[in-house]
Amino acid sequence: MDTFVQLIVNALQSGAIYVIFSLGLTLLFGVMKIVNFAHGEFYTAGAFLTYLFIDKWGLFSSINIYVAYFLAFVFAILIVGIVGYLVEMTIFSRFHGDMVSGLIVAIGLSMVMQTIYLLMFTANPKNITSIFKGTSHLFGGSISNERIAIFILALLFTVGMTLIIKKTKFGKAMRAISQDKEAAELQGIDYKSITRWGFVVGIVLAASAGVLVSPASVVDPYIGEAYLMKAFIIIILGGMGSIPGCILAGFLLGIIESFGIFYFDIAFATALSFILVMLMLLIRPQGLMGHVSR
Amino acid sequence: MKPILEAKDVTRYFGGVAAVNNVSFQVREGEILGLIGPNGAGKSTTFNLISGFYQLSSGAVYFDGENITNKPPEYLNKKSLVRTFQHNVLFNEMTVYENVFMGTVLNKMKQKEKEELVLELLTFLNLLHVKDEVTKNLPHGLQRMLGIGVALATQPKLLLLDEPLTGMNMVEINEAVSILNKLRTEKNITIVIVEHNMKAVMELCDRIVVLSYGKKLAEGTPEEVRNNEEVIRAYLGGS
Amino acid sequence: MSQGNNIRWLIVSVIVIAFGFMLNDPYLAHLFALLCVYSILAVSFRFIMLCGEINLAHASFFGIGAYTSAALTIHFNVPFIVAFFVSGIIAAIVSILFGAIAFRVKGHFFLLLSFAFAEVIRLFFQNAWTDVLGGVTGIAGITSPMGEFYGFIAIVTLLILYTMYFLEKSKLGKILIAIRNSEDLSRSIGISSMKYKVLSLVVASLLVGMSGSMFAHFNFVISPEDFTFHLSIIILSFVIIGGRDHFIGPVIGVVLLVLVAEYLRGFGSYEILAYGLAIILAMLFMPKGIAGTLQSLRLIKLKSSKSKSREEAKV
Repeated sequence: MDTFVQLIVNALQSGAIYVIFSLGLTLLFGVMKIVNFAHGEFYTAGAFLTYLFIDKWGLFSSINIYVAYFLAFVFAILIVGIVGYLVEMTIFSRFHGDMVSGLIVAIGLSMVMQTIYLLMFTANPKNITSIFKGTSHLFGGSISNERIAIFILALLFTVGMTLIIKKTKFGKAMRAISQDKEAAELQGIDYKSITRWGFVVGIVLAASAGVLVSPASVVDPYIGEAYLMKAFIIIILGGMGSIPGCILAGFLLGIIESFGIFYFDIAFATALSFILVMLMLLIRPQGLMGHVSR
Repeated sequence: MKPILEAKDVTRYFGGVAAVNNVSFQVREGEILGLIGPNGAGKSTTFNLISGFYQLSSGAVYFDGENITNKPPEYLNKKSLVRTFQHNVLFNEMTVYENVFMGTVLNKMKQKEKEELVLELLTFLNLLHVKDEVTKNLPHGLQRMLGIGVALATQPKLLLLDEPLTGMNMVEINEAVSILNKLRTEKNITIVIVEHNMKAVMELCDRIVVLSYGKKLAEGTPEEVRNNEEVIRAYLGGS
Repeated sequence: MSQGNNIRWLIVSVIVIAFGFMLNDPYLAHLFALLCVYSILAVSFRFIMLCGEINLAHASFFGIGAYTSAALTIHFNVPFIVAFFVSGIIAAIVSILFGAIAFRVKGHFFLLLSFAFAEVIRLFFQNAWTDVLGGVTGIAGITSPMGEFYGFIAIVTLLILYTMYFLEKSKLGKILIAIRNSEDLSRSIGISSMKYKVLSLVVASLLVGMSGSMFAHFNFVISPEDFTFHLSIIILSFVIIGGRDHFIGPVIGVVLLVLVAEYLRGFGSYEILAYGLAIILAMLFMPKGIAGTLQSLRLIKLKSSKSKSREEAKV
């Protein structure tokens, strides 16, 4: 029973990270119809910036670590947000609605970003000082305090995102565009502006995931890619463009991996998740909770 | 005389709503049958059901005596049934000539015969002068006619026209109507046409089926339908 | 094809074959063979794009061919020429199974599905039959099967490229393009889009499987990491940068980018950086690729997959 609980606990905490990361991706897909192959690189950006602020440059070493971490988060988000805004303006805005071109250009961007990280930080994994030290025991399973904090923050993020999407004008505008671009424009919604900010929100989410997770694991130029693949699995299973689907599928993947790795091995768990993706695309392409586009 | 097309209790649900509800009608060979109704009546859905683009929830469709329920469009075309589309659906990377030629690509005719057929159709549809134009440069009315041309190149027995006259101006409509008439007389093709343009419908059709809210409301000659009270009510005093 | 063009391509073919037979330096010969095999990969990738789909599992079929050939010649003592054809056939068979299922969806759904499949195949190479397939480290010690192997590669490459060219110009090519332009319209005039999409995939995979066999035998070592979706993406970049609207575009992309990569080889990671930048810049400023841009600048006259030029439409 203890094993079972531990596995569930593992599933929940990895699931939470997946969810934050994938929320951004599903948003980008739903609103802009782009499959953002460079999404992982923004995650890595968040992680590396945190590393820079806290460990390499020790910018906030004189302050309380929680505050330092919070400040690192804020600055990282700001920087990534600005870069994202510029990237959308110069590169992606040209390819709205053209899935193939958008995909290709995102791939190119991902190559460029990965190499920049490689050149700046080398391939050696970096450690970031953890913020919440120690472990706790919950319901018979043990979990590091860092991970508990991540889970709570992830939950807050998800709730925050959902509120933004459902309650704010911005969120409603994004939803309108994702359902019917022309109708939305007829209603006076500024497609270009909303899309640009939507992109920023999406990649900021990815970077946030990076900031959150980095103290609990290592950072190297390639961590984004592994997350990207998981994120694709999640948004397909959950339904591209669907936030509740993303949450559901994120935790589902956490469970598959947690149990799959324990009872079989990681290759099996990965293969299983990809096969599930293929089945989902065939039987129900709109995902568990997506809308039928036909 | 056996009908060339028969729809029998054709039904299709979307969610809980019946977009098409137990619709039955027959199409006689050589006639032009109109399918009309207010917006949302289920005309396009019925078309999609008959032409293999949507699956039926229940009911059956027969073509030339054969049960073609839920058979895919490519199968139906081999049986000589073809449909056109409400929007300008064309092969945009190809010229007008090549578009029509695509309709012949699968049949067994010799190259020379195919070329003659294509030229003949282009002339028939008044598209000869633009045969080398790329389709996106064409005015809307010609694009609509081209859509019909592509369909005709498959040498069908039954032609389903989905709102062919939308977006056309008066001149284009008159021309289109006379061409459609000639289709029946010169080429012996049976036609089912969904249209909103009442004048054209009354002019062209031998018989008309009226749909409303997914159900068949009336069926008969243009005269009969025009004077049918329920039809008049459905259109809220129209026609 | 005009007479002048014919002669030109004939001369190029002869030169290519000559290279194949005359190159002695192992490094140059290997580079040459790589260009040949990548050209096949790129042209066949574009062939599938004719029907409007992007297949990120393309490199996986290349890998299936390579692994089949290596395993057959090393573990089962099958003569190379038999293994060569069997590799193509096996790749083709797997592609039928994949296509029959995967083409039930299209566009980005198909793309992601092919991406997932590519990962499944990679995991397969890594974890299945490790005594034959070699697991993570793959298979080493594959031998060159004949004296003038590079000449063989040159000839096979040219044969394959000519075949693809004539297929594209044939009825099949037109049908694929029609499907890309409008699947609905194509189906309404009797074209089974599923059948033809699978056909294009099978043809491409057959040829790519055979080129995988050649790769295994001039590279001497293969591993699962050689055949991932990353390679498919690199091939995609060859096609896009070279020009996706022309038959010769992918080949231009291959030659240019592989040579640039070789030049940058000493600079390590700058290679990937250059690829990435090239892709972004090409998409922003040269969306039609090199071939397309040269064509619109009227520097060369090429046969485009798009509408025939006026002179060809004379009836």
